[in-house]
Amino acid sequence: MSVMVLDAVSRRFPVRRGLLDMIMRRPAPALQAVRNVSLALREGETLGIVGESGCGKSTLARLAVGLQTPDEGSVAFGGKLMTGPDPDGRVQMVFQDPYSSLNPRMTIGAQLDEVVARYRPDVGRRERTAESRRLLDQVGMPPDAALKYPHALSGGQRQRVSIARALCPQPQVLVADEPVSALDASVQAQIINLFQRLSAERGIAIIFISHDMQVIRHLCDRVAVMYLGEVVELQAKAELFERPLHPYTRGLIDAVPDVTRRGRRSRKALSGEIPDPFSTIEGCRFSGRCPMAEAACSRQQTLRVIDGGGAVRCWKATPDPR
Amino acid sequence: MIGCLMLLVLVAGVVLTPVLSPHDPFALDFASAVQPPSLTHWFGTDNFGRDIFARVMAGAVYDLRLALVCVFGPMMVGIGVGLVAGYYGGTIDRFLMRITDIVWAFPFYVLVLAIVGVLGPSESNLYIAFFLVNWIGYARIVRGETLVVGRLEYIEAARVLRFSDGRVMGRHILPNTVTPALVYSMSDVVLTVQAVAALSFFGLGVQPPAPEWGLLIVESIDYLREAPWMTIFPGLAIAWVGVAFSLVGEGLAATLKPKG
Repeated sequence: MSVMVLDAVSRRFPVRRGLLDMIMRRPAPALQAVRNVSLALREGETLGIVGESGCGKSTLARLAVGLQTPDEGSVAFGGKLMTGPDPDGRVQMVFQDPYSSLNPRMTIGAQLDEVVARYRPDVGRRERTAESRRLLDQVGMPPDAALKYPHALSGGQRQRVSIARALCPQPQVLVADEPVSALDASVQAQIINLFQRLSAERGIAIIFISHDMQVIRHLCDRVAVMYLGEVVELQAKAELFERPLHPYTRGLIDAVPDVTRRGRRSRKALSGEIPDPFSTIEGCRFSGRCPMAEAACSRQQTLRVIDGGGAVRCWKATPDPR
Repeated sequence: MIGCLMLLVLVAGVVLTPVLSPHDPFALDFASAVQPPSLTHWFGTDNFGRDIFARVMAGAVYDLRLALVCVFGPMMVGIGVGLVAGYYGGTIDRFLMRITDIVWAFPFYVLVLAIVGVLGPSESNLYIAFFLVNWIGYARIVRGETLVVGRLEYIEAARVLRFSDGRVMGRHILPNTVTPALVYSMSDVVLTVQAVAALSFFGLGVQPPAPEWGLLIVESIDYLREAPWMTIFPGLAIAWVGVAFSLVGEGLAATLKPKG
């Protein structure tokens, strides 16, 4: 059963035209952040979305929670089309920057009380504080944190508070947009464990966005690889890391340093830059950086399903024999 | 700190005038006309023998009342307009901002002249003029701040949590946008005190025999050579208030800065 279905969603950001462009009657350029992405989030699974900066991950996250509406396609949650954030708060989000995701002028307690008041109307005014502390406890924060302002907390603590806030409405889907990329490595591990616990104990389906392959490998059940607004590969985690199909995925995995392997290994690090997102490349959008590109790659590429339930957007891709 | 102290001194002077210098600011006493400052008449007397200290203190009530009402009343309006324009954006924003542009483009003193020309000079017409114009600055400041804060992640979080628009604006955006407006309001008080005095000076505002500071100055200019104290003390009062509010504004800016 899919709890959330993104059906062929696209999102463009038009850029304001200059006076000269208007005189020359040039069409307004648009940044194609997400193009034609279809994903189904299964109940209770953790779906990883990985890709370089600027590949549309964050836009996809905002589309999934309803902060932005797709230009084309649709997002359905629990079988119903979403138009804006879910009225019952069952799709929540944890943001990338722990420093701007809490209101600097309200204590942690006041911010949580507010959410409790909104989602637990049966909880009386007096018991609200106790409920807020219970939320803090669930994410491993001491109760006296409620009296503090965000500036008195570390990045990891703030991220825990953000998670506590997102948990109050008892969400079925939690969208986490690079929730650990701004944290120290040791703190990252704690937050990742917290996500794992939420998934295991509460069965919350998580869309976990990251650019860090190791974090994805640790946490996710399935992984979607995005490149320039498109999903180029979608596989279960084990298969993806065992036999990556798309040359881009292979590049991402090869780029992860591996301290357990002795000696030199053939690291085919990706070269080149991600192309201009304003460009409208017809064929494979990765062909400019692809080590195995050839003339036929300029054809339109489709996401084709392969044996074992995965999908890849590369006509040459075959299971890697290595 | 010093600014607050200066304001406190002024307020104490106003409240304690009956004790310190028990002269009626309106009582004529030709026997003691045009006397220089002395122990009985601290700031001297004017051409009608009225005690200038008593008149300056009585004038403080007029000037501060006008300045505070004409700043903080429009400030409320401006903050509301700025929040709504910045938060909703789109057509609402364009509509409200075009109105502010129109009012902004209109010269203030010409507007006052027009209002006074139609309604006649009086204190209440000064209020009308200031309320029509003074909200603009606040609307612009708060709108700009709202555009910045509205993109921050805690506002996005509040929207995903489905808080009402009123709550998002009032509890999350307003406290994080209002500081520059408050700081600006302090310098606005200074400008407004001067504008009130200037308009009264030109006969467009408060009417005699009220002891408004601008009026005190205009009534005294004929005696500037013989009795400079008649002009100097009301002028000093205006400067005193100006410096005091500027210092308070500076202090506010430092205190209200969010930590971390």
